[in-house]
Amino acid sequence: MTENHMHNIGDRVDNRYEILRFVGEGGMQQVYCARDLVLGREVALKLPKNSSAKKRFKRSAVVSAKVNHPNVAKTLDYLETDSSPYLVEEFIAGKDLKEGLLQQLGIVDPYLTAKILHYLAKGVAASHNAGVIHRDLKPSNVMFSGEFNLSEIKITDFGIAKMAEEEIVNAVKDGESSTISASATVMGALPYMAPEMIQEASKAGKPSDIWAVGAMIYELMSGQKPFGFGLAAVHTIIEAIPPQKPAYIDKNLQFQSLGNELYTLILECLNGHPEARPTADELVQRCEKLCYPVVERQIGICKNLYLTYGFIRSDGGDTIFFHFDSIYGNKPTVGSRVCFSAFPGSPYPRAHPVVLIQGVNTNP
Amino acid sequence: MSSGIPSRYVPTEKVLIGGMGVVLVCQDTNLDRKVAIKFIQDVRDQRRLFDELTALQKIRSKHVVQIFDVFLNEADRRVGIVQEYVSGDDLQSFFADRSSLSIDEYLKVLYQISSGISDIHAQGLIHRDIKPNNMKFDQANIIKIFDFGLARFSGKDDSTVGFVGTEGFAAPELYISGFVPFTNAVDTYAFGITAWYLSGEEIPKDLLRRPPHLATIPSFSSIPLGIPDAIVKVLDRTLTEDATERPAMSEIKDILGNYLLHGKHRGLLVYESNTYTLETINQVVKLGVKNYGSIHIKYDGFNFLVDAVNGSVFVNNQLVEKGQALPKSCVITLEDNFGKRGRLFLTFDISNPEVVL
Repeated sequence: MTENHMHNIGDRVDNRYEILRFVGEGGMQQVYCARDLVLGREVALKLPKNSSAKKRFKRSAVVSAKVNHPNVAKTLDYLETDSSPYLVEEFIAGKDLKEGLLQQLGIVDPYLTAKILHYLAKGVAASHNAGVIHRDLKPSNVMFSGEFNLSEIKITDFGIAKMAEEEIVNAVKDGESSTISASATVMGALPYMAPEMIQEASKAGKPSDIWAVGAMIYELMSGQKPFGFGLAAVHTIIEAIPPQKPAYIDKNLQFQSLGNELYTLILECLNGHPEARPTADELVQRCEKLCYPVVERQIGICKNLYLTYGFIRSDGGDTIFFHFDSIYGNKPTVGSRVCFSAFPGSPYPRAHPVVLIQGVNTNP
Repeated sequence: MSSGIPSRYVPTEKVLIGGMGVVLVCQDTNLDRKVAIKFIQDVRDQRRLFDELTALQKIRSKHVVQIFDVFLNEADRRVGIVQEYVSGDDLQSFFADRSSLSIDEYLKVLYQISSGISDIHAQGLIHRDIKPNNMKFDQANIIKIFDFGLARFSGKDDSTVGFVGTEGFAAPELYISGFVPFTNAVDTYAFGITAWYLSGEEIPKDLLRRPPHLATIPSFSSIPLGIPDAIVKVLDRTLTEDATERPAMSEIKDILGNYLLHGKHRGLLVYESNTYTLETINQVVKLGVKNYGSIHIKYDGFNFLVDAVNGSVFVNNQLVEKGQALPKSCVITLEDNFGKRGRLFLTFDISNPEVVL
């Protein structure tokens, strides 16, 4: 427990929610896992960190409560105590895409990327159909559970963006001339911000969310932010210079066809003209046609490597064969942890695809 | 009517009469959205009701209505359950005009219902009151199941001597008098009746007797929609007298899901720098290189099958046999015919869209 935490374990809020643990924080709010003493369930309890966030907190709760979809975190309650307003959301027992996927895998194979895109598009479509724009879609605002199987994918933190917006725009304006170290909020949001939003925050619309989806999907499949990191990205975003095709797509023909389909979709989402981007509904329709195998993912350790193939010892204790052609992204070395799907084979099952687990801190 | 409701919930004009009594549609002024509040009158065993509500919270399903809040009026022992409000029609009225129902739509509806019930069962729970008017389409056209059989906590139901559920949808074992332990197969039975109802055909009279006479009922194959054989088989099993013979809901869901993907798979074959896609039903691809083994692969709409094989051909290093289905991802090895251990490698990957509703 650090001293910045606004609650201690065991605190009771409104005599109903008991704080179980600190989950995390963004620029605007802190998140706790709490037990709802009336319904006996775990919930995510969010509270604003400063007075400007406080002012808009109810608005953000109301906005997110309008969206009801399996790929959007459900708003359960909103309450105000003497000290603070609180937003109560369904608790997702998992991690966000940044911490749980990008910082783990670094590069995500096209099969898993396609699934994530499909579910994100569905969640965004449901919000847009309810008249809600997210404005701040980024990997840390997408929660998932089920480890690398991503059995649940849910967008969270609607409306929070509106609070951060002014701060971001100010930073961008001062941007290149000044050496200010922009806040974490700004730096986190910028790589996914659409050009129209950077130029004038009030122009943020539904297409800006689509841009953000394109930017996130590109980052998953390439391990790179499409327009770079930090304030240097501003120029590239405003010019909407299309990011390069991730090199791994063409390395193996097995990944190429789906990889190219995804890359085409990404470029359409990252079109500099908002009106030229697909709508969320269109994106969902396109995703429905994508073919990708949904096979359970396992984790294991790369045990030995030969000229063109190697063996994995799965966490379940099985020996699995893999060919180097099945690797997407960086090649594992002996002892590396890998994520893979296994198929029946002789004398050992065969893995495909194989993705290196890089561990923490490879992704800013 | 509105007495005892927390002030944040302001009743609207709308009152729904559901299988479980009155449901009040209210505006939640804290979150500026509509909620449906259901009341259970005269609750005798409050602790057990709250235990059950806690259990319901653990269900992870997009097909089950979410509970937001619960409140208790101490004075009259009335419990209010605040739930997400689904604005659409329930399935009973939605299918009032079934003249245009296609087999595909019908199976998609059954797939969603079976997914929901399967999610409920996965949590070790039983719904106890599965029927079309306990299900609704939401705005995104996703079916939501609600009204768990909580009515049994209400004192006024004591007269029914333990009978829960709705007649016509109640499994035969529920008619046995006295205390009878029952399983989640009561939901499977009710799902079977629901499937019959949703087809638009009149429910056979023997199913409506109390208890139902199951020995003489017609098969689902008699329904003019033309239900595919594999699905008829599993649906017929939902209406068996012996509860243990009824299929698991997850099995029903898988069979329906598989059918919905019929003809939508794609097989990708890669040989050196060439790729070939196999995706049309009954399409056959013949792989053969002079002086090496050969294999024919056929797509039957569900699987990619080995249609013919000559010489030594291995799939993931296992000798292949005619008729076998290929795994979702594999390497096919063609060995030379002279025993010189010359080998050619191809990869084959099967993918499909996810079942989309």
